[in-house]
This record gives sequence, C-alpha cells and structure tokens, in this order.
Amino acid sequence: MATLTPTQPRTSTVPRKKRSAYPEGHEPVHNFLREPGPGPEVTGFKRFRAIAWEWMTTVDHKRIGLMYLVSVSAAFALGGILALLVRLELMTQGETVMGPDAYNQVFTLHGIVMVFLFIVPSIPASLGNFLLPIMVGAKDVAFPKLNLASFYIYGIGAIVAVAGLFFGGVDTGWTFYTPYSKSTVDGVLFMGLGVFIMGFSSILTGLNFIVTIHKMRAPGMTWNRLPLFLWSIYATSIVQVLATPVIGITMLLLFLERVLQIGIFDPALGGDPVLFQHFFWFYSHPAVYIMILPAFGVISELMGTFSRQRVYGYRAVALSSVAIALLGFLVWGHHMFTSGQSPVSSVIFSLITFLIGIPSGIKIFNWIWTMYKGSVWLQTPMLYALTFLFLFTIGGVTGIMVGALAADIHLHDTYFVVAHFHYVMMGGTVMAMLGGLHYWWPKMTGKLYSERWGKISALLVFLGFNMTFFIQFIMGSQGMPRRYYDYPDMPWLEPLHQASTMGSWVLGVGLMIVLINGIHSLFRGKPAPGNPWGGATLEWTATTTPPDHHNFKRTPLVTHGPYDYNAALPHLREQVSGDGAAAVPVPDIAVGVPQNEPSIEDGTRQPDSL
Amino acid sequence: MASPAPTTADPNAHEAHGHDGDGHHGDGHHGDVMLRGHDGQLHPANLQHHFISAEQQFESAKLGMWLFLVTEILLFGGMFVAYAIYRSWYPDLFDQASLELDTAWGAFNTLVLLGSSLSVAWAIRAAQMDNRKLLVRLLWLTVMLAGVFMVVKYFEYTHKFEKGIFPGQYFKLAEGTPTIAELTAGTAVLPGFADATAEGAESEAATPSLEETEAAIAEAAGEHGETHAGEKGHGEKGPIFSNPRAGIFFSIYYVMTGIHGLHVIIGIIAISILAVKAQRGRYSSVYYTPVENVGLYWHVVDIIWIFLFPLMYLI
Amino acid sequence: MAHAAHGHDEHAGHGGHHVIAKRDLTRTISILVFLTALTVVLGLLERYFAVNHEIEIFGPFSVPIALLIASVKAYFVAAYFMGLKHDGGTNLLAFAGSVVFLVIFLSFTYLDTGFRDTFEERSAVPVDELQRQDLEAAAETERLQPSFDAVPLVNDPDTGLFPAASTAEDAMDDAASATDGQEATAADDTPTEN
Repeated sequence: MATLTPTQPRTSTVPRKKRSAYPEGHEPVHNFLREPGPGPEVTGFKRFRAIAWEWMTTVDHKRIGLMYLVSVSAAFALGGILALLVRLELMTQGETVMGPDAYNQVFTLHGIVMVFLFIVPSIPASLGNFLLPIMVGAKDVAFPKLNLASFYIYGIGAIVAVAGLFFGGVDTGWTFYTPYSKSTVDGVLFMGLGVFIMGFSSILTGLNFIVTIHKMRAPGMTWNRLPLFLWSIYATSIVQVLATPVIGITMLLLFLERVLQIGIFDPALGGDPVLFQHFFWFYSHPAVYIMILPAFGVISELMGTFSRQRVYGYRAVALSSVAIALLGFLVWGHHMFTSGQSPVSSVIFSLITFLIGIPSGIKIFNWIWTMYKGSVWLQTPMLYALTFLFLFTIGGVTGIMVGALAADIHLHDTYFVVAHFHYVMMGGTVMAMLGGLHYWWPKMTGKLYSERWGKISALLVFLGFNMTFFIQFIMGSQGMPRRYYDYPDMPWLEPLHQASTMGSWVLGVGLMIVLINGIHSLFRGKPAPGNPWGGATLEWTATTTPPDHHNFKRTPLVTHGPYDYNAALPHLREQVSGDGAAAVPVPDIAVGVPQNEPSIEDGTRQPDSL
Repeated sequence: MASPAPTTADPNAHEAHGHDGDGHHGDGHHGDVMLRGHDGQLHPANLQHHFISAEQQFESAKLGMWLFLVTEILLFGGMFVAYAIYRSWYPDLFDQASLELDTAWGAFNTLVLLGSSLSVAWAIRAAQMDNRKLLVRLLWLTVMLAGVFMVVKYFEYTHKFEKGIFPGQYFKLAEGTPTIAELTAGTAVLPGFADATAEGAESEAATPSLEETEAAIAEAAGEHGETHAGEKGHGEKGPIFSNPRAGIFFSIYYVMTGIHGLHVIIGIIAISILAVKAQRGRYSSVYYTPVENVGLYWHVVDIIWIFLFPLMYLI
Repeated sequence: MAHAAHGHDEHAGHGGHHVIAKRDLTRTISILVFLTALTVVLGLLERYFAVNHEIEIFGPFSVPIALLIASVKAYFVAAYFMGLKHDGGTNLLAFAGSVVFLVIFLSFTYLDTGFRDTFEERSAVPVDELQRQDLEAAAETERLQPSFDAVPLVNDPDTGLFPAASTAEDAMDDAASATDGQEATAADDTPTEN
C-alpha cells in the first residue's frame, strides 16, 4: 500500500480511550447510526424496541439509504440463489435438480427479483439516498416522509410480488408477454400488482431526487460543480419519472385483461399482443438506463478519486448521462425485432440504437483518459471500477451487435443476448455497486474493511463472472435458446454449460467473501478516518465519518469543483511538493486526509437554482 | 478550518433532533407562528427543518407536485396511445360506438369540471388574499361540483349496463352476431352467411380468413344500421351491437373514464380534507402549499377530461 | 396585451407568489366554455350531416380539429389556472417534457402499428426463392472450394470442442478426392487473390 503522506505517525501517541481507535482529528462527534437514540436510562429490551422503532420511523435519508441497502442486498442474495439453481439445472442434459415447470418458475422469479427488487432500486435508493443530500450540501432530501413512504411501498410491492409464489407462481419470464401471461397461473396477478406497487416507490424516489438536486443545493454548488454521481442520479430520476407510469398502466391493463377480459392485448378477443410489448418496453428499455446510469456515476467518482486526478471531460460525462437518458426512450423497439412489428419501425429503432453507443463511448473514453498520467491507486473500489470498464465495454459492444437488425434476427432470445445483458447489468451495475459500496463503506459505517480480502473478492468476482457469462456468448452464437430447460439437440453444449455453472460457483464464492468482509468489518473493522481515500466531494470534505444526524453542522459553502483535489485537500498537496507530478498524491487510508470544512451560517444565503 | 470535527456542539441541538420527524413543523396552525429550530434560530412554524427558507420549501413542493403530474400524464398517456392505435385500426368501430355515448351528459360534465377548475383556482387566490371564508366556500363548491360529475357518471354507467354495454368479452352483441372470440377461434356460426362460408370453404378448401368474415359482417351490419337509422329511439340497438369488435372500444372507454373517475374520487377526498383544514385556519397567504398542490392535481384531472370528452363522445 | 390588461388587480402575494387576477379567471373560464360549446356544436353538426345527408363535412380532419380545440383548452387551463404562464422554468419544462415523451410514445408505437403490412407482399415469395438460390450457390461453392468459412461452428466429440468440424473435414476430404484437380487450382488461386 502506498503511503506517501503520513505526517501523523500511524500509531498516534496521544492517549485515548480503548474503543476509540480513530486517528487524531477524526474522532466522530455525531453519528447518525446512534443519534438521536434513546437516553441511557432506557435499557434491555425496551432499548432495543426504542431503537428499532426509531429506525422504522426515521425520515433521515442516511438511515433510509441503509435500510434500502439491506433490502436490496437481501433481494440480490435471493436472486443469486435462484440464479445458481438455474445454472445447476443446466449443468447436465435432462433433469438435474428440478422439473421443467419448476425451472420456468425459478428463472422467472430470478428475473423479477433481480430486475424489480434489486437492480432498479439498487444504486439510486441505497447509495443515492445516502449520498445525494450530503453531496449537494443539504440536510435531507426534499421530501423526507415521502422517502420513507417510498421504502415501505417498495417493501409492500416486494411482498405482494413474492406472494405470487403461493398462488401458482409465475412462469412467463420477467417480461409477462401476452397472451401467455393472460392464460397462465394466477401468480401473474400478484407479480403484476407487485411490479405496479414498486413502480410507485421508484417514482417517489426519482421525484424526490430531482427536486432535491434542483432546489436544495448548498451555496456555491452550481450545476457545473455537481459531482458526476449526482448528474447520473439526476438522469436516472428523469427516466424513473417519465417511464415508470407506463409500466404501471401496462400492469393495470394486464390485470384488467385477466380479470375483466377487456381484450386490449389478447388476440383471441381482438387485441394486439405486440402492443403489450410496446407498452412493456417503453418502460423496460428506459429502465435499463435506470439500472446502468447510476453505475456510470459511481465509476466517475471512483475514477477521479483513485486516479488522484480531475475527471477528464466533466461536462461531456455529465451531459452524456442526460443524453443517454433521453435517447433511451427512442430505442425500445430493438427488443421486438422478431415480434412481428413492422419493418419500418425495426429499421428506425435499430438506427437509433446505434446512436446510444456515442454517449456511452464518450464516457468510456473519458474514464480511460482520467487514468492517463494519474496516480492510479489500486484499492478494492478501483479494482471494481476497472472490472466495470472491462466488462461493460464487452457488454456495450455486444449490445451494438444485437442492435443490428440482421444479426439480431439470428441472435434474438439466445444465450448471446443473455450474456450481453448480464455483462451490462451484472458486469456493469453490480460491479459499480460493489465498487461504490467499498468506496463509501467507511463513510456509511465508520469502519474500514479488510483490503486484502476485498482485493481477493474482486479478483474472484471478476474471474467467476467471465467464466460464467463469456461462455454464454459462444453458446448463444451456436444457437442455445434462452429460457430453455434442456438442450437435447445440442449435446456438444454440455461441457460449455458445465464450465458456465462452475463459473457461477466461483462468482458466488467471491460475492460471499464480499458479504463476510463487510459484516466482519462492522464488528471487528478498524475505525475509519474522516477521509480515507482523499475524496474531494462534500461527503468527504465537509462532514464527519459517519455523518452527523443533520449531515453538516453548518451549511457548507462550495468553492471548488468536485474533483479539484488540490483545492479540496491542500494539506495533502503540501506534503509532497516540488515533484512536478500532475496527479495529486494518494493518502494513507488508515490515517486519511484531514477534512477541510468551509461553511457559512444557516439561512444567510440560498442555493442558486436553475 | 483545519480541525475536521466540531467538538463543541450546541447542547440544545440534541433535544431538537429528537422530534424533527413529527415535531415543530408538522401542521402548524398559522403561518406566522415562529418556533426555535435545532440551530437556535427562529423559523416559521410551517418551515420544515431541512429547508432554508419558506420560499425554498414552497418551490420544492410545487416542483415535486409537477413531477407527480408528469407521471399522471404519462399514466393516462398509455391509455391514450391504446385509444389512438385502435382508432387508427378500426375508425368505423369508433364512429359507431361514440353514438352510444350521450353527448349532452358528456358536455354537461365537461362544464361541471371546468367550473370546478375555476373554483379551485379561485380558492388559491382566496388563500393568497387571506380570505379564509371565501377559500372554504370555494373548496366546498369544488367538492360539490366533483360530486355532481360523479353522479352523472354513475347514471351514464348504469344506463350503459342496462343496454348490455360492458367492456371486452362481456359486451352483449345483438342476437346472431358472432363474438370476436368465436371469430378468432374459427368456431363462429354465421346465420345468413352460411352459404357464403360454405362456398368459400369449397372453393378455397379453407375457412375464410378473419378479415373476410369481418368484412361480410360489417356489410350486413351497415344494412342493418341503415334500416334503423331514421327511427333511432330509446332501447333501439345501434349498429355497434352488430360489430364483433365493439368490446374493444368500450374496454378503452371504461378503463379510461374509470381511472379518471378514480382520480376524481381521490380529488374529492383531498379537497374535502383541505376544506376542513381551511375551516380551522391552517392556510393563509404565508402558507397555502397544500391548496396550491391539490389545485394543480385537480387541473390535470380536468385537462384529461378535456381530451377524453371529444375523443369518446364526439368523434 | 394580456399583461397590460390586468393592471391593478394583479399583485405579488406575501411570498412573492403570483396572484391570478379576477379578470384572468373570468376570461379563461369564458374561453373554456366557448370552446366546449364550439366542439360540441361541431361534433353534432358532423354527426347530423353524416346520418341524414351522408356528407362528411370534416372527413379525415375531424380528429385533428377536436384535438386542436382540446389542446387550446388545455393550454388555457395550464397557463392560467395552473399558473404556468408565470411559473415558467422547471415546472414548465416538466410539463412540456411529459407531453413530448407522450408524443414519442405514440408516434414510435404508430411506426409499428401503422405500417404492419408494408413489406409483406413484396417480400414473401422472392426471399424464399433468393434463399433457395443462395443455398444452392453455397452448396456449390462448398463442393468446389471447401474453406474454413464453410465449416459449421460446432463441437468435436473427441476433443470436446467443435465435433462437427471432423465430419466437415471428412466431407472436405471426400470433396477433395472427388474433385482433386479443381481443389488444387483453387488452393493455388487463393494466395494470389489475397
């Protein structure tokens, strides 16, 4: 580990209490995890009950963010177990662990859990909720009660969706295509209703974020000083607000289709099943950007901090997020090339699909250029960021391949597509989320995790992921269809399937290590200094670790950009002078960087808003 | 400031933290009341702790409401898209079906909703002018007009149910008209067309396609409709009743007006709550954000009806 | 003109909020009632002529006309009752955005539903014919000049990878033995072509 800058010795000679192993100047005064908390006189079960009730009724965005984090992690674990089951079943030809009907239900549930319960709320609702108000310099999101309501609506929706299991389950795949979804088991009603309800949660979160970014920025926090994470959250929120109502009405119509036989989507009643696909994908394609855009934001933060350098092309990266969000509404038809939609629309959708490659390419280019001549610091978060860069590029390029009309006719609904969207969703979003989680873990919990195990897990995840999914590109191009229970006509695929299944085990072990490392750090981890990575955004420079219940003692005054490490961390710069290096040196994570806290009195100035 | 963490906190701060969830800002009585916040400064009672100023809070609430309205517009937008697509496919069906809707009642309801929009807009003005009496009256007037709208809607619905106009599959077609389900399944028995279909079956060795059958039915329905066009009275069945796809129009009609009606009911509840609170003097020119926001919601409900009325009843 | 009209009645509220003038309210509602009457009259006229005289007075324009009137009404509600005229900024952007995306939704869906049958008749038979010709040509090429491209990408039972390759190689050998001379010339030609 590079330790260029310790002015303070690593083991401070200042005498201190046993529990407080914080570096000097980093002792937390306030801590949202414990504040306000019941008084010391409340003890035993009553104390537990008081704390539990306080958490359940909190309107603190940080606590809501953590509750979301736990929820989406549980959903990810559930979806992951289902994924392992799917892979296990495909390991041998014929029945391995479950029958065909069970298999249909398992992969459907895997899709629904991963998409609606995990990925859509993953980064925005957990990291976004935690960080967004701090990053703009506000005390909370604009509507704290709505924020809590959104969490509970998500919970209710998740329960309703999973309750579908007890009413026959769902075997339609996560896309609910009509007319099959109209005639199959009743679980569809519950799943559809659950998706409808969770849509409200998504809308409320997005709405809250947009208003917070527009109206609650601290003095000096101009749009050009907004951290790139917030730009991407902003773009995500736009998509959430604009697209989610359409999945709502789609699910409502599907519900009525089943209950009242209204015949809008059912061809037997004169309806048009392809219209359902239009409705579904008008939400679900933009939803793909709901899933990936926050990941872009996290990667921008990681690239800046761990290259110790300003993010190259700040405006281009920021605006490309918005461009992706808006262009994302014009391409949904590329999911429907083989559905029987008119060739006119197929051609146009294919054309616009290629355009999405431009802003994505701008981002990749700028991230790589950020590392160029920087002091790239290979801590765990950066390893995940590099993994993201590698995997997402593969996912994106194969996306262009399947976006080509002619190629897609061949590859549609094969494992090629499965591999493509796993490279984007898992290789993109999940890697970014893991990177972000490692990066902000000290901020959120006040504890340092084990770097060594972090790096080991990153390596295992990288290897396991590629082992699992790269092979699926090959299988798909050879014709292995998606969602099939068996492959009797293609016996030569068996070894490939086996390799893929073994890869999924490696991936599972890697993710287990992440989990254990996190939990271990909660109990045994070293206390984190205020700014272990030397970040320059407000959550690192203007608040304590973990943050105060009210985020800031005083409203911060923002005087520099989010990646202006020289201005934000002058102490760090002073310590190595005269070497002429372009990049800012890396700090020692066990000691961190003393925080710089420019602030003004409350209420004297208002944020300028657009 | 070099030392990162402030070590001396205001002793009052912690006490103020305790009740910020439902404490001083909740539903303050009058905008002028000032309370001491956790930072030791005085704030208007309606100002929530995380906002810097009342103006910021008002602007935020209003923007939040607008974003919510965006979702409402897109929710209804989905249904308008369904309407547009099916209208472009079956223009005649929509022409015939709109004859079954009572234009007079529709127009009356439009005027009622426009009136309620006016009254709610005027209510906001009254709140801004600190005219509490007028505010309360106008809010109750809005509720009343919305109630009239729903009553008319109720009679429209029941009248249609009596005529057998139900959504989708449950639409009661005229005697002898095959349903769309039978047609798509190819099991339709066509009285009067038996010869034609038999001939078709012989000549092409296959049953006639859906389009051919439908064309034949439409032709017959046109004749049927013409014979009765002059003597169209109560209980008389219009041409729509011999159109096998009639259910589609009425599905869209019931879904759109039904969800719109649901919004009207939600509006009635919200405005009633506002009216009761206004009676208690909660709103003034300093703080009337809920009135403003519910008003915005109500106008969008109105705008949606402004589009629904001509599309459903007139053309 | 609109601004000049409501001079004294308009003033800023306590928070600097715009207070709508009485005159604006009454004028807006008058316009709305008038437009409602207009659209109803036009609708009834059209229906009357269609039923009694079989004349379509608006023909294909009846929907656009109705939508136009409705849009004007919606404009007045949004601009005056909802205060967008004085709000502007982000609220207007949000509202306009929702309309834009609704139009996108409708128009892109219509690209499909309005053009479903466009290419059907022209493409059905000829493609089959072309495909057959292509297949024949491919088979001919493969017979004459076996190359790596012609080998199907499938697995080998011996190595576990690419099994059909062996059968394809057999086929190649067969082809080679059958048309020895031709293959030799083909092999000679290949480098010069490249």
